[in-house]
Amino acid sequence: MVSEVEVKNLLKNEIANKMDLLADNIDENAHLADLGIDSLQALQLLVVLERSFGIALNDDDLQYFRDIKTLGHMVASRIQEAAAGGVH
Amino acid sequence: MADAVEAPIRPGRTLCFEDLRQILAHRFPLLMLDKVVDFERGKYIVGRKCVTANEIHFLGHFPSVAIMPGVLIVEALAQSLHVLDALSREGDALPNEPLLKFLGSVTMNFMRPAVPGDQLLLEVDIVKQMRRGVVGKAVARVDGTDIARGELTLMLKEDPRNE
Repeated sequence: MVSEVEVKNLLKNEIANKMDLLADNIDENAHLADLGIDSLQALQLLVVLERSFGIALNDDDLQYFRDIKTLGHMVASRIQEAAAGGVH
Repeated sequence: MADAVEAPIRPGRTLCFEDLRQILAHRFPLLMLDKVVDFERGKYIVGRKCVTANEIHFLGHFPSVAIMPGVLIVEALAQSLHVLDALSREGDALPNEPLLKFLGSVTMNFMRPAVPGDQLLLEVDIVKQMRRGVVGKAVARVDGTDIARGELTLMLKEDPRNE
């Protein structure tokens, strides 16, 4: 089972690569827009999350693309639901 | 006729050039799609682009040998994704007015060039469709051989003329 910490680490690494930042310097409470993530990059991030963790996300889930902490928590919950055979 | 075997024309799932001009805002010399030979809403599209020596970019690319610029192969694939996205959103009707969509990102590998006389088969599968944009996996083929393969993201934008 993938942990919330692993999800957040993946998010930090993806954002660091996209925005040319150091992953260790990214604050998980920082607003994604303040890190330079726009709607295009949010869509790309969403596809990365789907591919990495085998979950399905939709337009409504974009509300969680506020900061890494919120997003990581939501994704970890979806992974748990999927593992438990729940609908996501 | 290798391409015809790969992508048989499916009656009822084809679009002619005039249909495409209703969906795409692009015009000469940047309308890079001649026909859609098959599609399934929300899933995939197969477009066709016939490369001809009369196209204006061959004046400069290159004066000594005619090679279709790779960016225009990307453009042809992006227009195919644009059409598929429009068809997937609009249901049975064609849109009344072309929507503007902008290429947000491209990851593309090119295996060989396209030259006059080639018929590009443009196959695009939807990876993810959202309200604000669409991601597609794309491949361009000539005579059954992949010449370009990658992933595209298109974003819907407000018409800048209205801003």
